[in-house]
Amino acid sequence: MIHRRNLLIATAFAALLGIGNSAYAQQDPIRVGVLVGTSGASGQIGNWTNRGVEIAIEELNEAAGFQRFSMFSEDSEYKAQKGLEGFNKLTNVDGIDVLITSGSAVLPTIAPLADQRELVMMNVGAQSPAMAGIGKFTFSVIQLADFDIAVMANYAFDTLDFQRGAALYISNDIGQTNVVEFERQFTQLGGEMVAIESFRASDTNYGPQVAKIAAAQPDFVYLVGDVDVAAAATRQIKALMPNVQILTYGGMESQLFLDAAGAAAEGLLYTQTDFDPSSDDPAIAAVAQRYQTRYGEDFTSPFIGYAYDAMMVVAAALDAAGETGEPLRAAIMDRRDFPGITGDVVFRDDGTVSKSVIIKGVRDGAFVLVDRVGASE
Amino acid sequence: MNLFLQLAVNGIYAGSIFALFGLSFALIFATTKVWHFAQGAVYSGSALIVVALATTIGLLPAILAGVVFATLGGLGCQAGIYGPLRRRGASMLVIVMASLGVTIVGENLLSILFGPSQKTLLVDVGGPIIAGGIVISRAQLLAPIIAVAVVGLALFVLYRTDFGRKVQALIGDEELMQLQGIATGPIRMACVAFGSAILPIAAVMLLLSGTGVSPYIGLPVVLIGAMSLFLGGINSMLGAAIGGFLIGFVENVALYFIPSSWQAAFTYSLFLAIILVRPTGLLGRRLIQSSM
Amino acid sequence: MATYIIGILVTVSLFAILAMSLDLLLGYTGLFTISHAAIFGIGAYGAALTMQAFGWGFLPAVGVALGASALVSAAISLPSLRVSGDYLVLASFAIQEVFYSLLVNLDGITGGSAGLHRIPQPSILGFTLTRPLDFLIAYTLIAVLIFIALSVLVRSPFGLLLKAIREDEIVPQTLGKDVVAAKVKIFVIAGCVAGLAGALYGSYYTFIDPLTFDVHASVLILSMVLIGGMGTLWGPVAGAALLIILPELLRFFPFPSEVLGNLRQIFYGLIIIGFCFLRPTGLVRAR
Repeated sequence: MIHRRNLLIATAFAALLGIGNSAYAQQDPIRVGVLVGTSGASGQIGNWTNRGVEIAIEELNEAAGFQRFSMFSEDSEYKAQKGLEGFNKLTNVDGIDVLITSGSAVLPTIAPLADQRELVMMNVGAQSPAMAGIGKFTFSVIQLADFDIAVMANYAFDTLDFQRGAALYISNDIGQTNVVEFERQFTQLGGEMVAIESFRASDTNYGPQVAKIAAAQPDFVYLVGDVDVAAAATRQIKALMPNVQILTYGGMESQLFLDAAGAAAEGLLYTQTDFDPSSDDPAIAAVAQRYQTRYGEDFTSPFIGYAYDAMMVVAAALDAAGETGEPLRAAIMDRRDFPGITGDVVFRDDGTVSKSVIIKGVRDGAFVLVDRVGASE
Repeated sequence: MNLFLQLAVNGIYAGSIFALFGLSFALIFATTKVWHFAQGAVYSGSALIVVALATTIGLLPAILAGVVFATLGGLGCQAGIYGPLRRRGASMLVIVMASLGVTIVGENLLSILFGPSQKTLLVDVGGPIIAGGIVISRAQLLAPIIAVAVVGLALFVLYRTDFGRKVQALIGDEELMQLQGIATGPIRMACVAFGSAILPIAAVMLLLSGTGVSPYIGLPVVLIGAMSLFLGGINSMLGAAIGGFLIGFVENVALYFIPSSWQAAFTYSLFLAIILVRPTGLLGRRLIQSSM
Repeated sequence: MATYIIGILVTVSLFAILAMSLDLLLGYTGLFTISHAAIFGIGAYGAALTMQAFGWGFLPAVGVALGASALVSAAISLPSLRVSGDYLVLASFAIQEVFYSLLVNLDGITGGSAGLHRIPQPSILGFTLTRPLDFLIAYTLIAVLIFIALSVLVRSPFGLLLKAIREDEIVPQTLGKDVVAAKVKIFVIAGCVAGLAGALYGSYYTFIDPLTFDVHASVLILSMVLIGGMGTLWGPVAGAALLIILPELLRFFPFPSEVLGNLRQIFYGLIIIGFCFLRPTGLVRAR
């Protein structure tokens, strides 16, 4: 960090030379690394994450009046090997001071290394419960899946009065862990899972899986997949079972989903952190406006919000800490409670976040609040 | 019982589409002797074009655009990559690698152009037909008809026309044809063109039932095509179509007995067992000496 | 910068071992398989599970990994005794897919899609590898030893038999050589080497999941051998170096982040196509 007296001298120099304060500060911005997958089938979430950080940094730099932060982005393909290489590049070559990342195959590989280097790392996408406590310097701004799933299972059993559940999931990390957890929670409450079917990421026709589910006559289908895949699955479920209730998770919430699912999305229910991109809240409206201006499309995905919030947590904690590394980590743990456009960010001891979870749904082709079931813990 | 019939309906549907995959792969493989992996990118590219254009210019013109793209894509691979490599005396392995290279480039270009995520076709084709508790969608009704028509057309041309006899001769013994002074190039290109052009047709059959298409879903199309060919007996177009149909049908009906998470393992194990026990395929007569 | 480069070189040494082992099948014996990532994965999962489930040390775990991958590789050799060429390509591909399904579906053992976390780092004779430089030294040394051992192997009478099988199976058969035994043997040897690479891989990254060992990994190893030069040992090493380092260099070009990943893949594809045209025999030519 810049020594205060040096700064004064430099500012004096700068004033003498007739250049602004900002010109000096530009020489030493805080380097923010972003390590997400931008190629491959899940590249969309990576792109959203990059954009979320981008607009946050744009806003912070405008507020500071100089380039306070600079951004370095690498592609991890959401794979351990590419993730580690990207991490090494960001830390050793670009010299980043803080990292915003996601990917449940990448985080376990790099979290121990981040601890060694005392690099604060923000998880903005990996929801696997295994992400809890994977590193002292790792903070999850996104809620891990187990709590959301408990809320959904309870809502299905108690509020919707459903007894017979079915699940359709993509056979990857998110799909497998979510469905195992949902089955555990739902059967514990006294419900029964009458059909659990999966498909591979490269499959596009889920007809036979849906047929098996339909034959089991469930009250609802719990659906887990990437946004685009889940949209196609939603259409195929509704084609065979027009009246079945589909339950899913917050990752769905995006224009992409509505466009791809069409009318079949109607009535869908999902858990979400207290996130409403079309809210009147001036903070959220400003972000939505900035996003619209910069990328020419509506701000709809929560992944943009998580990335944005992570960057804002870093900036706010830095104000208190003054420098990155251990002081930044301590400052985050010290304050614990940060405002966020995806709901308030409150960290637990193990670095995971506790957020309020609400039930949202699709009505008339739009995402709307359905029920407030209360905050976690 | 209802479930079994419903799965059978799905099996006939998937089988019809896989029959087209099999025919497409077989036509190109038999006449070029190339493992045309890039077919996957041609497939997803043409399907993405159909989806992108269907809402603006209508479904039929969009399909036409997809067919044009697929034909040009297939011809481009043959004329721009495989043909020149073959003339340089490249081994089959090198051509396979080049084809994989084209696939990687193609998938990622498509991802830049269309985005990485799956797109679905939002065209209303009317509700399903429900008969005795069995739900049959319009796409499921249409697919077998289209498949029979396309395969029938291919077989008619192959066995009832002068051109078809030349294609058979080309598949059987290319050198002999060349000795007789017949230019094999145009015949081969025609087969590649037809084999590629039926890909978007198959894609539309899938898209009509709400399935998605992304730049990255092409590889299974090639593998199903290849498995169909080897299952049906190499160099047999009818065999490949039947092989494809069987894969689709068995893979679906098997779900009556096994969980869907084991479907891939089941299909590939079964395929492995069949070609180990009967390497000539179900309909094949003789084992062609490997070219690799 | 140093750690970044060291990290890349560790990856290069791992893939050099893998590519050399595949070349035993592909280049020396003429057996084209797309299942090498499966054998690689057996080694990685075998070692990781041995250490995690039984609490065994690194060396016994490597022993288990070698045994398991040799066994599976011998099993993969069975189709090669029955079918060849195009058939073997597809048969081995089917094996690759079945293996991937098993990794995902046997989640009670393999951890399923979520993979295995916190794999212990290699510890030999009380010395544990932790720093990137430790890994580089140890793994490079292992790669060099394998290189030497394999160069002795390919020059031996057995190695000559393999080349004879590659040229035409019938000839050694009529000379009374046991072609079947030779094929199984080379699959076992290639399996052991690939399994070792798997064990080393898991303990370096400390995390493995099914995606690490999918068909794309098989294709990557295949392209390393082909670009480097089949039927040589320097070739696969050069191919591994090239295909790991070149895409990394692209990180240094200021592309917009949204297309960066795609551009790197396109570059990888173009390298493959370029080599097919300009240097179809690979970087290193077989003598």
